[in-house]
Amino acid sequence: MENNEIVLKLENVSKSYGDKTVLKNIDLSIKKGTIMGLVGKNGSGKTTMIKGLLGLLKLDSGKASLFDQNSWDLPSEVKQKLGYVPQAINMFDGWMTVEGIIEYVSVFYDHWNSKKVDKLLNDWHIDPKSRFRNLSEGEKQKVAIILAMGHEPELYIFDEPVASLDPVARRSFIKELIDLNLDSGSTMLFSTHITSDLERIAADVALLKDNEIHYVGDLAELKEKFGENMNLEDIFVELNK
Amino acid sequence: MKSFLQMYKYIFRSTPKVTISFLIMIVSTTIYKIFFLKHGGLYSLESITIANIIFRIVFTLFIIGSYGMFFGLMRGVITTSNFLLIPKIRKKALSFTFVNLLGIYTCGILISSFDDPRSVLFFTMLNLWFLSFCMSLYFIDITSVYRSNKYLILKIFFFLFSIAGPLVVVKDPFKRPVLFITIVSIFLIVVFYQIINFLNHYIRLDLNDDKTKHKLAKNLDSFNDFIADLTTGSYTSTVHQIKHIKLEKRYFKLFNITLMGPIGIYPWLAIGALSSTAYIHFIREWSLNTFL
Repeated sequence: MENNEIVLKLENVSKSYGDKTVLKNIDLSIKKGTIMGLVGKNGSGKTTMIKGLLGLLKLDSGKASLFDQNSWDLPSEVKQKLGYVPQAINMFDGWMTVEGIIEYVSVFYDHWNSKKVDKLLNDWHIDPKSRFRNLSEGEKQKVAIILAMGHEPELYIFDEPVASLDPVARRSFIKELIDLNLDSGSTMLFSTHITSDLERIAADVALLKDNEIHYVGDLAELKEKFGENMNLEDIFVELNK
Repeated sequence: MKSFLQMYKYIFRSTPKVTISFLIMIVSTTIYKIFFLKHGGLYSLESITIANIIFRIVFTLFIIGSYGMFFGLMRGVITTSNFLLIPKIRKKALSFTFVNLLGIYTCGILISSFDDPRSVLFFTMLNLWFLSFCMSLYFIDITSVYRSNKYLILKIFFFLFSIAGPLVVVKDPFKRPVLFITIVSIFLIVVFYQIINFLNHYIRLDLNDDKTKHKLAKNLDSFNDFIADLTTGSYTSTVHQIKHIKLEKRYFKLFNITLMGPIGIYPWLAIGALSSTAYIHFIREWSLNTFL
């Protein structure tokens, strides 16, 4: 695979819920090895875009593809290369322990790095024997992230993964992402409200405004446009005034 | 195979007590069938004993519970956001459920009266009805068993009254052959249509979009929310009452609320008495019409 290979592509994508337009003619593509941040206000369509991209939602028009395969009909080979952390963790847990859930998920993948999973559980202070339902929201989020990382996918899609994490866990998570990107050249699409996190890891950024992509490109270039003193949060606020 | 084993483990770890209860139910019924009912099936006895009624109820509960358990697993696969993109998980959950329900069906045929064609037919129709009922009930808020939102009243009518399909098989088909053939044909056509649509929607993850739901479905959701609020309110008020009664009386109240929910034991006793009467009446009618 060459480095300029496009792993994720949205072409003229639109989606409405009844009369309300959520996505309007979205075009976006991400090359292999890129970390792209997705920023937008609440209700700007970030989650809808990600769900459309992953084939979890039918799009009204346009085309979404991952690894050159139509997202609506993703073959299992593509899913093997995909790690997804959803915004909401809604797991029917019953009496399930964390290690039980991990064991269950692991059998569906051709490759599973148990050592890495154990290390992450240890680093993030999650007892594998603890029941999932007894975990806090932040700990549940960590388990979701670990589940997405266990099979060491080529493409990670995170929908606000750090929203419930404490600053220590957030830093550790971001470090993990940077290491992953450096070691294996994984591609990442990262949606968040915490713009400071994006500044730490993302090289590229896509700004969603009024249901359209307002800017997509290099984060440094965007900063240059607005002046060196402004950080991404200032730019985001400025754009949404 | 590995994933099937994990699915068994998942079911057991999620609900250990329920799974153990079901295992006890099927093992005890099988022992009863092998050692105490050497000839004839569980449902085909001419003389009905207390033990026989108990094991009929136990086995019926086992079948209903098993459907609930396997459909619960299938629902979990599609409602758990983290599981949505796991490769082949939905296909495996479907085949796992199919294999297990087929096993339960075969076991049911052997335990009930496999030597009587009409009871085999009844049991088959009953299983199809269970399938239809569980698909509609477990996935009403997620994915449709039909292709469109049209004719919702007819669909609700079918959901509520399709039990007529298995029940008419018990009656003598030659008395009213046209009615018999019409009901059975409609039942089979609709159920197979539902199965095909459900499989298609489930594997493709063609889910209901909450924001484009039919108005009646939205009203049903609101009704569900209303019932949930009512139950929560009822729990809160019962807990409040418990706090203010004498210590020795608290145990019964606590026992009551834990086992029976906020409405207490008496409505459940009434429901149990009514359904048992109906069940015994049904067995008698069935035995007389079918086997004598």
